[in-house]
Amino acid sequence: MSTDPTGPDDDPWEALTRAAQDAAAQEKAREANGYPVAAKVKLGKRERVVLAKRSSSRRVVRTLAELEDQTSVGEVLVRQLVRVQLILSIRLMLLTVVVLAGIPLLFLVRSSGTISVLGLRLPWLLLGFAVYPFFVAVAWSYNRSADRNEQDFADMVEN
Amino acid sequence: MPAHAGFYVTLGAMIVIAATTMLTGLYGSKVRSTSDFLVASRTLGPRWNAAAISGEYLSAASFLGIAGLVLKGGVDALWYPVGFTAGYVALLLFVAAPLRRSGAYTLPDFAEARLGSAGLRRVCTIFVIIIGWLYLVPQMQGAGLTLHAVTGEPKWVGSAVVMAVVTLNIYTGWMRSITVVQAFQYWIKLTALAIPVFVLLIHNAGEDPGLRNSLGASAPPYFSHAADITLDHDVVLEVAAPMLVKAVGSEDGRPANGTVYWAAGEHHVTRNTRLHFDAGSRAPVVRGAALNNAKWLRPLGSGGHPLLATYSLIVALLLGTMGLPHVLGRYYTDPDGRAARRTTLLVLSLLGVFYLFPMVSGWLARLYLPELLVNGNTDAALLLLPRAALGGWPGLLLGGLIAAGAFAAFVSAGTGLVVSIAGVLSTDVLPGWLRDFRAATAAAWSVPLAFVLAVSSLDLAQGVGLAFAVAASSFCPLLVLGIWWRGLTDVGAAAGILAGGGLSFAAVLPAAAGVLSPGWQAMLAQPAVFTVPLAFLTMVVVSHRTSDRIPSDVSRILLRLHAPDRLGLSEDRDLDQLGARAGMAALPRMRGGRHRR
Repeated sequence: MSTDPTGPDDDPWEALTRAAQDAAAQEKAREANGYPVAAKVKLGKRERVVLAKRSSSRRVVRTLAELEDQTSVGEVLVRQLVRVQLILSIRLMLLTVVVLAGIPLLFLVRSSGTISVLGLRLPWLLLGFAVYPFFVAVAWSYNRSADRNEQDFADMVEN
Repeated sequence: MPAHAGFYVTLGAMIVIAATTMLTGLYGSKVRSTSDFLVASRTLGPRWNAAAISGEYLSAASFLGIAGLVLKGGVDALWYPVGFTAGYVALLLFVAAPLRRSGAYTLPDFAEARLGSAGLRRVCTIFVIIIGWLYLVPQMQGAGLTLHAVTGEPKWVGSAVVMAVVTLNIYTGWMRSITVVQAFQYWIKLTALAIPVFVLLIHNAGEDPGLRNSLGASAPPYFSHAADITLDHDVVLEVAAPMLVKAVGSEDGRPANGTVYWAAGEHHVTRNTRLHFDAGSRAPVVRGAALNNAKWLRPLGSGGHPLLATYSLIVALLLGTMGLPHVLGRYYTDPDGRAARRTTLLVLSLLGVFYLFPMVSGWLARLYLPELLVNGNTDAALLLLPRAALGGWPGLLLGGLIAAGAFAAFVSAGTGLVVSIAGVLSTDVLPGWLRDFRAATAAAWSVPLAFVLAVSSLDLAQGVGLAFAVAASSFCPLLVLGIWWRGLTDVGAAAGILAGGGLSFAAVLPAAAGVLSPGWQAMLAQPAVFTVPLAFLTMVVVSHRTSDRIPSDVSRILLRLHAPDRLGLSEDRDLDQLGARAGMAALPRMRGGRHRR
């Protein structure tokens, strides 16, 4: 958690009100410049004013309010997150599909059916054993990356 | 050995399994009260929930069907377990975490929450019922088969017994579909399969290597000992090389009594004919099975368009899992989206371990049970394997263990399905007539039971494949587009579900009834490669046309689905209400029906 210059003992409502005013002002300024994004930088600046007691509410009031109210910042942030996650999913799905769809194509080559590895014919080895660790590896790498994307998003919102 | 020993052994094993399951259930429900049941089970963590998901998922098709298909079709049959598992990869990548955060407990819930349309909810409800029914048919069929293999009772008896047990189960709440019980079910199924397979492998290793090596030979499978086979239905047998066979009954339209000569090619043999094969003779195989071991070992052996059929199967299984009514509700037990992802990773490992055993049983059945290739009852392979390979008491005991495990599979999968179908029947579809949950339960299982009794059906795994095809063509597009695309509208979603799901259902229904010629059968039983793209396309096009109906709060909803859990934006249903809906003993649902949000 980052430092909070207003101090944990200050009235959280005061912080909230100030936060809301601040947000509105920034929103206007941004619209005037036709300058929609740069969210990370601006959020990074604002965070020091906003933080309420995270230990109790675990919420970063203003940014969350923005996210929830679908101001342009919130909208952009969410769209970005969804896009990053979707690209990750599609990439791994493509890998899975290419591997699954490639196996029957490999089998079209007649000789592939007679290759033996470790005493097992290649098709049996691939379909009976090898695909399962592959699935687990795909899932594991997805979980790691998806968690990291979410981590980045949450850090950006909370800092 | 006393008569009916097999029956008593199986009955004993079933009672032991049922009793331990009930005790687990009792223990599980003592620990926590009804209202905080979900919160409490959330402390169990992904490991328990992963076992529970796997336990509910491994049904008749996985337990018995895959071994039978491997016996018959060889390596091509392995696409079924591969697809059943791959479905969870797709579910993880596109659905698991966002669906958990949506707070929806069923698919109609998700549709209503995302698009706010009661009409769409009704469409979804209908498809929940269709998919559930299609999925129930193989469960009942498998139950009939199991009892028939163990005691020789007619097949309808087993189907009826399983439905009676399921109904009793729902009414009394003995075997609740709570996490602990379902997790326990996974380990029961794994044990009931793994122990016999290990014993048989050890036994096989000590046998004549000639038998073992015959799998690698190019010849058809052969009888290692003499066999008498009485056919319980008409079959078409394929003969690889001319052979002599002793037959009593009727073959190729002629009455037969004594030795007949069969040329290479197809031979029609009618019901109740008795065939005798000497030890060492080659086995003819039912049409559609791999004719000789060389073909059996090689992929893409089936006729028609094997590559297209394989792709269609992959599409159906890969995308169908996410649309199964009894799978999604399980994810509600996870505390948040991240846990849902971790759970899915574990499910993939658990399924991978389980599916090794049906494959190995298929190999062993090819060695020890060529008679099943003649009479066509390949789904019974696993049940008959221990007795055929070991004989005596060891075979009897292991066979009993397998039969009891299979029975547990039908009951657990059947209970989950019947509860979800009866739930929507009593609240969404026929609230006027079927307010009583008991009546709805009867309605939920009587339709598929009638279907099983009326028509001869597919192999178990293929039967389950039909349910996957419909799920992939209806709910997969709804979930994927609903979670990732802002532009989806209720009209578009409904149109896509009706087009894809409706068409795939129209295709698989005659296939399930078994009224088609083999060529059409192969085509229509695997419609997914056409109907899934159709459903996606319809949803996108119609949604574009009706873009004024995009919900105004779409951004807020997408935020809920995708925001990291620690921001605390996702929304849970009221837990009391959910406790009632999750069917704590199903009793609250029975009385009051389901609470709407």
